[in-house]
Amino acid sequence: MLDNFIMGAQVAFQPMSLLFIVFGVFWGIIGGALPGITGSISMALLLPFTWGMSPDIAINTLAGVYVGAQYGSSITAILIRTPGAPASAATVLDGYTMHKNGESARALGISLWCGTIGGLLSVVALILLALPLVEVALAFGPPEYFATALFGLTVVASLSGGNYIRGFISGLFGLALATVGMDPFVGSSRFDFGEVNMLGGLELIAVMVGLFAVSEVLVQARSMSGWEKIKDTKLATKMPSMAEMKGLMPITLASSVIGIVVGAMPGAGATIASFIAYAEAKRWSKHPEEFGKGCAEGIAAPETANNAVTASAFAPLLALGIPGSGGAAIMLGALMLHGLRPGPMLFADHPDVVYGLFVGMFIANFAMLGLGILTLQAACRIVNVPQPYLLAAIMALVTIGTYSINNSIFDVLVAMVFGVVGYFMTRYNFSPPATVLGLVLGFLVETNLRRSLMISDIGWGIFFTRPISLVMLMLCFVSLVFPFYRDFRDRGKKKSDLKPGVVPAGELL
Amino acid sequence: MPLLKEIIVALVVILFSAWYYWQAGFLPTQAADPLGPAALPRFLAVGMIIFALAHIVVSYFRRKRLEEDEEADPLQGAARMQGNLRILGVAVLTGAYILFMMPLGYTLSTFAYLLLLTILLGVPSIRGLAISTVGVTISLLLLFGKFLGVLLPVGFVEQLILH
Repeated sequence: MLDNFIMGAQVAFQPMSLLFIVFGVFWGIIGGALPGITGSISMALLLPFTWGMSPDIAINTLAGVYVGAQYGSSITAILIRTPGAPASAATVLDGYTMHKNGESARALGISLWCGTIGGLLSVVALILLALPLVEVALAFGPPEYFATALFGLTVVASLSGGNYIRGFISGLFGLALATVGMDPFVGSSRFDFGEVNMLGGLELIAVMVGLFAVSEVLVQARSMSGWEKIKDTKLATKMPSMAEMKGLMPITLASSVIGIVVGAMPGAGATIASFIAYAEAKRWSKHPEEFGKGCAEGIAAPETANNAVTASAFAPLLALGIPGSGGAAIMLGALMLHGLRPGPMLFADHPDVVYGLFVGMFIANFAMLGLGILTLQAACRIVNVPQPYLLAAIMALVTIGTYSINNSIFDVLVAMVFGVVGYFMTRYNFSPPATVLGLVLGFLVETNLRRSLMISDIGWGIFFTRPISLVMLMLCFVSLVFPFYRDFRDRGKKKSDLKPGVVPAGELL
Repeated sequence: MPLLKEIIVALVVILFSAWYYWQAGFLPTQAADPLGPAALPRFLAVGMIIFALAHIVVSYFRRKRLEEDEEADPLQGAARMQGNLRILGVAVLTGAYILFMMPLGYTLSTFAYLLLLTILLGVPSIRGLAISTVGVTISLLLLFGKFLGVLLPVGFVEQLILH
């Protein structure tokens, strides 16, 4: 293995390879930051240019794009409440609030450092655990996937900011949105009003752009005081301290594990990993009430998890030839374009490419850190322009970004409709992030529920007789009950701290 | 008054859920698929109705807090009306932008949209308006149209440049 690793290092450290990895990361950061251009789209755009390259350089360039895009999507999530990709949706919650509090560079710095650590640990996991990880992932059948998706949905309780009922309604609404389009089993159309553009379901990025970005523009347009020019530029460009990063280390390590495991599961992906990591961070935090108000842990957890997915998502691809994500599917295309067939034999026949990729991903993560630091100050200053210019530019950016997904005006229309929906949801304290979560997980929930019941001939026991599924369902129960228990406990504490006979307003329920 | 608002919100949720449940009834079933395409939508609809009813009950018990929150809204009276009109303006302008993007093409429609939207939101300076409108239009054109190869809508300005 060491020999292979040295061979991989020789491949990845070639000057041309280094140059293209850095270029790939830079391309990924730009693509990731643009709404509508996800990491996999950025990779796909670059794919034709890799045709003339040697396989190892081509694969490393694309890996660089994949890594860079994860950070890129968090830049706009933090600075303009517009996640470049669904995986950064959870980052919006605390990242954007921290930016509004004037600590833009701190938010971006936490995202960058934690993302780098998550990415590096994911590469280590890929090197050491590629085959065992795949074995774990393959033990997951439909009941396990259903239970995992259900576990992901319990995050709703954390996203509702204390308004549990509205949070659950928002989550169910998201699940309902996921049922729009062609039924995955019967093939009949559902809730599409005969509109051809809705046959494939609602475009996730369009819905997300609407719920987060357009609604925020509307909220700010109403008051024209939600965002003010940041006067304290010293604070705005101040990076997180070493002490702060040290304090975030436990959450970073835990979120890395979540990202690595979820990433290895085909079809699960970075979005689910980031939401689960956010919820777990909040659950185990000593100050959960600070989440959603610009809390550092609320940025560290999702950003670590979505970056930790990058390398582990390649485990099923390299070991079995199964692309578990959009990015991995592009990578599969790139491998085949260069005459390489993924699977166990790839490790034996082309160790230079496989281990070159491992080392290349290490380099890509460091390149992301370097480029991130270099561009961070500029990014913070770009958004420090007067509000009317910024809001108008955001609207134009999200419109063109959404249009670019499928070159479709219909997607833009969807984004605008959900912008209005998101505005009213925000105004009446519903939770747009919970709706996005429901939409992300809806397909996974429905297909695996129906598939499981088909296998068991409508025997619901299938979910309780398989160990992984049972454990996941028990975690669901704990995850649902814990926030209520914590609130009950905290309320009890508060009341005991007050003088006897005094009941605070609104605490009657 | 705030309680009435919450009841109306809950009723909107109930109405939407009832419609969703009713529509699910028209979905075809297949013997091989025991649950069928209507099962999840129906389950979700019932769930939303239950939570909406719970919302009404909770809002009733929290009516004092709702009144306090209503009073805490920084926008009151004329400012609130102005704010709502601004939202309407943004919506109308954006609707027009979407409508005219294909016939007018990217350049002209985006330029006009940025110009009018910035004016609507309040122009800090004419020079800034010109720089931001032209700058953003060209930046997005270069980013999406040139570097990322997105086929942006072609209008007569683009045709004039191309020919």
